[in-house]
Amino acid sequence: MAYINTVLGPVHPDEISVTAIHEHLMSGLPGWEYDPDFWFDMGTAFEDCYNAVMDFKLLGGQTYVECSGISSARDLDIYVKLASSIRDMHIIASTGFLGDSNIAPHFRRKDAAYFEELFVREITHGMGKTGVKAGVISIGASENFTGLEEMVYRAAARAATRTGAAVITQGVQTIFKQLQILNDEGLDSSRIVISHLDSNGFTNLERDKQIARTGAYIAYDRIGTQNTPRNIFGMPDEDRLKLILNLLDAGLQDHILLSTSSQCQSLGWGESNVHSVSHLLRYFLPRLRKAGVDEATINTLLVENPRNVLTIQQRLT
Amino acid sequence: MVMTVKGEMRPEELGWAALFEHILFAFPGWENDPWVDFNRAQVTESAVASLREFKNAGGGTIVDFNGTLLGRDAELLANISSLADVNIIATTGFSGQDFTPGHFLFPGATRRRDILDQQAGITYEVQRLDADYLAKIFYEELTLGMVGPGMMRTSFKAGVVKTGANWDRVTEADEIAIRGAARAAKKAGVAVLTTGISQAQRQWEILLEEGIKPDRIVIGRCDDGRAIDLERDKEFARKGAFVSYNHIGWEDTSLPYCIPDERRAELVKTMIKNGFAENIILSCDAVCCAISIPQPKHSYSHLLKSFVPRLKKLRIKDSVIDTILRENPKRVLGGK
Repeated sequence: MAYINTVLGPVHPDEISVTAIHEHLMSGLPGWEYDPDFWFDMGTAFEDCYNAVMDFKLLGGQTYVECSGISSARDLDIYVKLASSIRDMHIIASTGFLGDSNIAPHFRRKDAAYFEELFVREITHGMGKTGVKAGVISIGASENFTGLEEMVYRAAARAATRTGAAVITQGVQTIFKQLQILNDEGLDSSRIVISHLDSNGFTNLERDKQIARTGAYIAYDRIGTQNTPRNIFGMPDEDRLKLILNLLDAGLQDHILLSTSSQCQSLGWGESNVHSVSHLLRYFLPRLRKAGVDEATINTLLVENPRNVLTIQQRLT
Repeated sequence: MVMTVKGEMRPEELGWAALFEHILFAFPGWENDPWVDFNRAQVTESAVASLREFKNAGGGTIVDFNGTLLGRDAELLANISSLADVNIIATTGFSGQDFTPGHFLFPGATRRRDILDQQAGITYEVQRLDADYLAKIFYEELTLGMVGPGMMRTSFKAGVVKTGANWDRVTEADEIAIRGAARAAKKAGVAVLTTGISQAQRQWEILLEEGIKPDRIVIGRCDDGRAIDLERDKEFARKGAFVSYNHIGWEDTSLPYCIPDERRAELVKTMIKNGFAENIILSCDAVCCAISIPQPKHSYSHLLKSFVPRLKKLRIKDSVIDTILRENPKRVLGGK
């Protein structure tokens, strides 16, 4: 059996259509909750999340992948409530850790075997003490690629191989090292998504082609970000479009994913709601069409590719 | 006056006090570990039983030395304190970078904070993660109430401040936390308890720079097996600080930080013989519910039921023991 884990339970892969593959509802480094300056009104926060996701749905969006992983303000109550409140909107949550500073002290003393069991458990039994299952493994590496991050990567690869879930990885400074570790652990490239390839200062068309040709997915998931002193990775959509058109010309449409990496509620030193997931469909989709990208290709990027990433093929172990 | 979780008390009312104890002990993030089996009812019951035993042995007060981050639960502390009729003083402050979550690890991190300006519409200010930022957090825990889960400030206030550092060095993140703690302590007039003995000297320097008086400083963990140094302890005592042997009962010498109580008692005796009885603090770092570390076997009463008799066997007089357990905590926590 093949299925996709949403926060409301497994669905058949064909139920999934237009997808934003890398988003955040709540996002913050562990510890924000001890800092009253970052406390927020839960009702207002839920309303913000609801409005953003509903807006996305009204534009034709149907699946929202929350990539925060463990101990980075993952809030299952909000995810479940959102998914139950918006009809035919699938919310997919993630297990994993986004990077060294996202790993709370309790987990910093654990080893790869522990992380592997943790990720497997969150995909097959439920996240934390709940029965809500994760749909993907979202991990990240800092520019130093610490030993702890390497442990998490090895564990993620093993958990992905055991469960059939995909790995979404971020950290543009160390992509090839990440890929190598995941492959070393036996994870098939077709189960790997490399995120944030459209980070200002770190774009590289040839690199992206090379990654796609290994069979991995390449994600342009900072759509709608502006380059400001406070968002150094933001870049204009027209530059992003050029990259994507080049990759389409090279015949790599089966490996491209699109998303916005928006945050409805930032609980750290960033800002909330700077841009919204709707930007993908409201502004970027018309841009693709205007550039001559046909509907079949758009369907590949927004529906088929994410569906293939999210689909879990039932394994025996 | 000293702030306990039950409210303000006169220092004379504290009785025999153990300044480095823990009800819960857990590193941030433990709530996300599905294999942690935390049973609040069971923890309450066993903590109350252990504290009653401590009280029956003559104890009056413990300091829950968790600080803001290490599994402190203000409501649980207040409940346990009432049920056991033992005073509990809670702590604010951090314990060193290794125990601090990512949100507080980037000194200088800025945040734009929108504020309403009546003339010009929305304007903003830039906030920075620095010592003053942390001082505000700690000061509010001392004067308004400790932060609790669910983005809520409890009505229970912390009564002392703790500082700590990584084992190998005082990192930049540690330094802002130490300075922040010092500023909060100075403003609120409370004592500072340190941990991380390997970096005690640097912490001490920072505390003095921030204007903390030596007689409001307790240098913690002087009996850490990795860094025993009586000359250092005498020097701190000579300058008027308190030196704390607070790992009593941690005797499993397969762990590098543990030493036998026998040796610990000799250290204490030597300090007393050198005339520093009025600068000694004793505690046993017991943990009722250890979540992120192995559960120690001894409990709060070990100090009074096992270690004090050991000191008596070494011919330490009752009056000296009373000074160490009652008068010293009274002076450092009460300030004079």
